[in-house]
Amino acid sequence: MIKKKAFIYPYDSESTHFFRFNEMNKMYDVVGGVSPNGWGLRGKDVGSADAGHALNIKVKDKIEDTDEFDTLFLVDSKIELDFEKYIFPKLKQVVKTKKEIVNMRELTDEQIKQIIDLCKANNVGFKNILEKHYNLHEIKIIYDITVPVVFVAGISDRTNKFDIQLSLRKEFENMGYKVSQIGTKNHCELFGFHSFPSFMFENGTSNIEKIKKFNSFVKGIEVIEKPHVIIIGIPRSLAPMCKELPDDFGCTGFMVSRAVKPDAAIVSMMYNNYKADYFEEIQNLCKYRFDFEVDCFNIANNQIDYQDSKFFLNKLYTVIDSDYIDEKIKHYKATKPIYNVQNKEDRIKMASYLIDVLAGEEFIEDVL
Amino acid sequence: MLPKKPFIHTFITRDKKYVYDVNTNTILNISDDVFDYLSTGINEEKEISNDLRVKIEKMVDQGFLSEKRIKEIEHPYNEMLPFYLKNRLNTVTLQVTQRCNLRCSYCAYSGKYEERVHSDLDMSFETAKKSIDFVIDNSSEAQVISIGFYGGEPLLMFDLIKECVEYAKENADGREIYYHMTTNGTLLRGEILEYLVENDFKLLISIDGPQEIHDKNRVFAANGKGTFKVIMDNIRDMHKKYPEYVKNKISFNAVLDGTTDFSCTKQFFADYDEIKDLNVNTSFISDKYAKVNFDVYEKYKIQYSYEKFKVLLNKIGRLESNLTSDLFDSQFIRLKQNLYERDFSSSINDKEHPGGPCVPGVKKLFVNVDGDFFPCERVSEISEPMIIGNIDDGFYLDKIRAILNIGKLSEDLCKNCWAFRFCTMCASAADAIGELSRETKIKGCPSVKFNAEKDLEELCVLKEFGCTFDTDLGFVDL
Repeated sequence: MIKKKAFIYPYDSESTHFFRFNEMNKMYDVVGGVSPNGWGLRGKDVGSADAGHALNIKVKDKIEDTDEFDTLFLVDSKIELDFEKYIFPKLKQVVKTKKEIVNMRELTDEQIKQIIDLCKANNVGFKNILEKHYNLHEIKIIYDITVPVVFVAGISDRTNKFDIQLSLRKEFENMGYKVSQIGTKNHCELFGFHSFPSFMFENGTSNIEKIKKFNSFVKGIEVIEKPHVIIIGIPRSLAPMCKELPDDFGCTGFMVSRAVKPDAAIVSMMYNNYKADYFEEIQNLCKYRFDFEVDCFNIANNQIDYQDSKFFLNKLYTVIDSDYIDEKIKHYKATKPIYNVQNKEDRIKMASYLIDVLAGEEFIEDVL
Repeated sequence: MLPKKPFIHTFITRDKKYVYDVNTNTILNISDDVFDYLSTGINEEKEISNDLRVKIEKMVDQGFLSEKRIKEIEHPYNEMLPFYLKNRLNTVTLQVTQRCNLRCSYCAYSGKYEERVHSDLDMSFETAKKSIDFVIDNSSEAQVISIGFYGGEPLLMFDLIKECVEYAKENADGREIYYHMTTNGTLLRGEILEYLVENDFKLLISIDGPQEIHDKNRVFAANGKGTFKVIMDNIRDMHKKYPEYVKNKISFNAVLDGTTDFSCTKQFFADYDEIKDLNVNTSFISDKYAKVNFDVYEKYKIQYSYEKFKVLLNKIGRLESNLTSDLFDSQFIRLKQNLYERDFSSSINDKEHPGGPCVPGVKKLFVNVDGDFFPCERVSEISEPMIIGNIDDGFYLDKIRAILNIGKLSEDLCKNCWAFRFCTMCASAADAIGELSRETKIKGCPSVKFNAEKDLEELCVLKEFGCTFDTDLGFVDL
């Protein structure tokens, strides 16, 4: 199948995975990104956005400067961008050159309608990836999931969780396993798996219903797709950062852990100078609050500025070069392995390790 | 076992006795015997009663009275400094000119300070452009960018300011940009004012008090005449034409001259129609880098202290707020944020740094007319250690590290200082112009400790009299 060529807008570190895992995109070949001038990425390598390795593609600041693509991905970004002032005018330029639009950005119904009308008027295609429908089996009990499940969770956000999810999928598939997956982004379907279901964030649904529905969702995946392993990415953070910035207090993680019991888990953390007892504390947190064992850790190349975040009531991060993380990991002391998913060798090691965990004892060939 | 040298500081108020436990960052109200034991220096050979021994041991069991000291002075942001500078910039203040149409007697550039003096140097657009580009290119983690204009009197370079704003709009698109300016207010009218309003500039206007006090120090360069009337006419006009803008975007800076009448100043800011509902920052004439002494008369100190006392009475519910001055609001907020809302801990870290320094370049980035970078506009521009980079070279990492880790100069003292968390000294306190000096820095230590103890006492007295610091949360009724 010939993939359409796609450009990303507005590009920042929230979208670097499109480039780093481009070969896993089933439908599109992502060839470039456009960033507003003021985001500090103009003219830089797209890989500089997440401070990972260079990808030899330069970030563009003007979409009209290029004709190298057929489709524009309208994506979420970490910096807010006014729809009327910036986004819609950009889309008008794009549709004039007959490029189709694929939306992955959280927009209002009114904004979606504006884009639909614009595309219709210019006779170009529009796809809203966020529109999903769930056909869940009637929920009577909590089902056991009988294939191995791997959790990918983060103590906080900005912990490279999605990179870990894509990396594990790729490595497991390379090893010959059939992988089903629920991911933490809203556009996982592009990579061939399920986005985290939106019913888990619905205001009108009780937490009890959410847990049951999620269990049913996973069971449905197991029954219909018949995978060898299911990877579940847990959105948001397992723990509040501080009383001023509690995120969702780990509620999403708790609900997922009530719905499904994992057979292996990787927990990702932001960079800091952790002592051995901190890793133990995280393991205890996961064991006693979420009822799962942590099998290994990932250290992300982001650090929260705790003081400023508390003061400004807004999470402020510093992005760290990935090479620096490689060096620092060597000095951590923990009873479980620690990886850096931005390091290609670590990706293979992480996947192999988790497969070993799932495989269990050699002399027990199967558990029925 | 009783601790021999707990890391603590004892102090008293009129009614009670306290110990500040450095490791846990807690303040404990303690009994007389415990206070006497802790404050007179622990003498191992001296017999203590069993009752007292039990009390001390209980405190130790609960995690207090640890002897742990800081092992190394290092700023917590030191390790990540290169990365901060690469993606956390969010603000720049441009010295668009060194010219000024005023000659304020206490001005930093008046020749009375170890500082440059007034000159006719202006910033070029090329320098301004490069400065703005520099911030944009190193701000990928910032949500907004703030561009400030400084002088001299920045409005003398109105055309350059317009060029900068238009350049920023085009080249920082996709980012919210805020503009701000410190101005003497004499040129705030007509086309200039209209432009500033259109672009939502936040203005800090210098007004020292009623006419006789303001005009004593703030005069026109051309004729030596006072500037009060011109400024107030401009402000009056602003109120008429742009009332919402004034309400949201204007604040004032008052330099307090200790040789004047503080009561008049206080009353002016409380009563003057065009000013009373707006925010006012106050500061005394700076003695940093000063070559001369600036007097503060005894009468002024008494008046000032009395007004502050009235504010404290208000905070404990003993005086109506309409009888107190708003000029002390920021001080109470500082007390609340720095002390009342402080974080507790189980122990200090092996590496700590006294509380004073910000991250140069990230917290503030000041660019002078020549394109040299400074940590802020309050450091001396003739001080070589304070030049932290320039528009062509970028940042000088080693110099920024030296400023950030200024506590290293007095490491032996800082490691054992109970007030390290409350220290307000940044590198400017150690600036001997040609070098960062330990001797210069440690001259400020007694004052820091004195003020820290005063703050602790003030917090405790307020609590003793029932002050609740959370009255601004908006709870009305359950």
